[in-house]
Amino acid sequence: MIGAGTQAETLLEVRDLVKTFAITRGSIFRRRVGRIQAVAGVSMDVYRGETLGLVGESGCGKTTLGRLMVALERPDSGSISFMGDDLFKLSRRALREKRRHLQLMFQDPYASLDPRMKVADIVTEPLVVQHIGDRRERSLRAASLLEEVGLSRRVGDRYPHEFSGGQRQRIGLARALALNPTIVVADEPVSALDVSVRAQVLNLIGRLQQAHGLTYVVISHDLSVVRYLSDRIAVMYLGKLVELGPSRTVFEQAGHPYTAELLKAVPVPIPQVERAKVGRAVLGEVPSAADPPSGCRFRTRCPHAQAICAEVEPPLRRLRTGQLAACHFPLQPAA
Amino acid sequence: MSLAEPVLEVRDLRTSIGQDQAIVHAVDGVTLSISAGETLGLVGESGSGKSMTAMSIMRLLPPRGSITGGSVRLNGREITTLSERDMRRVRGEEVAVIFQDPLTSLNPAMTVGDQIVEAILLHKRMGRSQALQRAEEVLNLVRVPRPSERLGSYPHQLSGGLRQRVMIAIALSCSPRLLIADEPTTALDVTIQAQILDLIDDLRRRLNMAVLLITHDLGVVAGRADRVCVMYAGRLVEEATVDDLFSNTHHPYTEALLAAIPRPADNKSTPLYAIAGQPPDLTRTFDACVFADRCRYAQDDCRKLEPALTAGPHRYACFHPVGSAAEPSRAIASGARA
Repeated sequence: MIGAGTQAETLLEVRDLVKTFAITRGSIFRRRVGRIQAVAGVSMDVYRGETLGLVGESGCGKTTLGRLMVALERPDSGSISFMGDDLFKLSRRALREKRRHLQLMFQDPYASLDPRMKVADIVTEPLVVQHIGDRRERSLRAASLLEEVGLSRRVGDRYPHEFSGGQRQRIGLARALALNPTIVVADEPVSALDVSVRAQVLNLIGRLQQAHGLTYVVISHDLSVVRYLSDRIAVMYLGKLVELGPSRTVFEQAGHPYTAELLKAVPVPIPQVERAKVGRAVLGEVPSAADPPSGCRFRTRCPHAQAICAEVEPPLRRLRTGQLAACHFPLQPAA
Repeated sequence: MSLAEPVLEVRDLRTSIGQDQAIVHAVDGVTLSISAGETLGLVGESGSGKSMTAMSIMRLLPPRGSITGGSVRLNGREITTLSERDMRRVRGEEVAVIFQDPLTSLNPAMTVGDQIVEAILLHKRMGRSQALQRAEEVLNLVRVPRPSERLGSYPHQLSGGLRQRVMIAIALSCSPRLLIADEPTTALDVTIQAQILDLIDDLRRRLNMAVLLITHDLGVVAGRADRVCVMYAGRLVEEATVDDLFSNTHHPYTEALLAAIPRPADNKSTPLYAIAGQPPDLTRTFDACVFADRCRYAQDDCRKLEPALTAGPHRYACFHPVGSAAEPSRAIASGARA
């Protein structure tokens, strides 16, 4: 486990990252009617060998940040360095070489696999893109990858529709591992799966990290899953990083009021705990990302908000408990 | 059992889909009841038959789906034999349903107000302006902010949470005695989920409704249900009060479901308990326990005979319930993680 203060090798350095999307109206004459800051100035590091959990509700920018981390999107400003190289200043050729080390595991196993491709071809497509190996080598690689994720090496000749959700997610994992990546960004790796199947895939994700010394960024709205997998947690709200720290600290001594509300809202299978929460849900909805509140973006729903929260955007500050939180009135004392 | 007659009484319900060789026995002998003001949680994984149970009660089965046996009594009246015309009156007035994704159940081309008015005029004799007034009342009831303005909104102009509130408003517009909520919050963010679950709970209390809360998430029923039924492979395998189900689990499937959820103290160095194998093929008929192939407690008798549900307030369909035999009750929690 990598906590604050330990010397760990930084693999990814995310600095002041901003990514905006245009909102368009109309299907034929598309006009721009506004801009959404999906990622609004995020800085964080990812350390070698750790699992960083990225959490937040829909529209918080976690998926966009994940796609930026594997260079599938280009930021408007800011930088991401991978082992010292600024990904967005590299030549196309050099970037493609770096991409081998940065793999994305997609959200929905049904939608992300090409239904007309055989499983072996899906798994080894990244090798084709990177011009690695010949046909025979690739087919051997497919067989060993499939075995590694707990499928039979013979399933390579079959098509995605012949597999269950859990098996498809295993295929997605095999594909993500095909290039021996350094970092795997897993976007909602188990949310489409039933509880019993989910446990199998979570166990596999943990085992593969051990076996390959992988670094994971796990993106999920499911906090019990993130807590289970992660060494550190980053919490996002409307494009901003609001809290970052060791998993256990963030879960047990949340510093940001949003983290606390988010954690409280997750249903746990313990009747006494859940009954105590009835009638105490956090009020309001997430404001539009096209028109975020001034100052602290959570202030419109925050039970602790005061005048300054509307005027000054709180910077990320270290708390005595060790994590960083962007709040004028953090729930834990500032360091 | 309460003394009052239950709002919903389902007995030995059987529902199949398909024909000839490919008949899926989606619901196979389900018995349950809900009283006024009570929430019954119905929990299971995909394909367990929980939604088909709800659709059987609503008589909204897919093509080639049919109720092949058993009875469904709503407010004391058998509804499996009602004509489609009579059934249309029952839907909305006596029982209403809300689904996971409100965007697919709402008409994108109609305003919120028109959709609620349409639902009201289907059942109640009143003028349009009176119906519109009632529409505003129900939007207010489900705590939609500025209800009179919202009447003119189209579904795509609303957030997911507001859309689900509108769905609930439509469901409640004719004051049903039973509300079926089928995964009502699965498509919503957790903070919004908590708001919608609070709303359903509050409405149940204020309107003395019976609520059937269907979910795959044991955490959702933990705080909101009075009793919980667990379904597996079209069958009810355990039913208990919510406290009993979680603290005194009898069926190995329920136990396994609970053990598969990561707990706060767990991390990836301790593997989760994963149920081996896949759910059974429901085109088959069974003369054994449907869970036997995946059950860690299964013995010879489980593969020869199908266990019946026991009687009493805590019902379970198992010959070797958790904690009964040589196996210590928390074996899964410790043993499987070693």
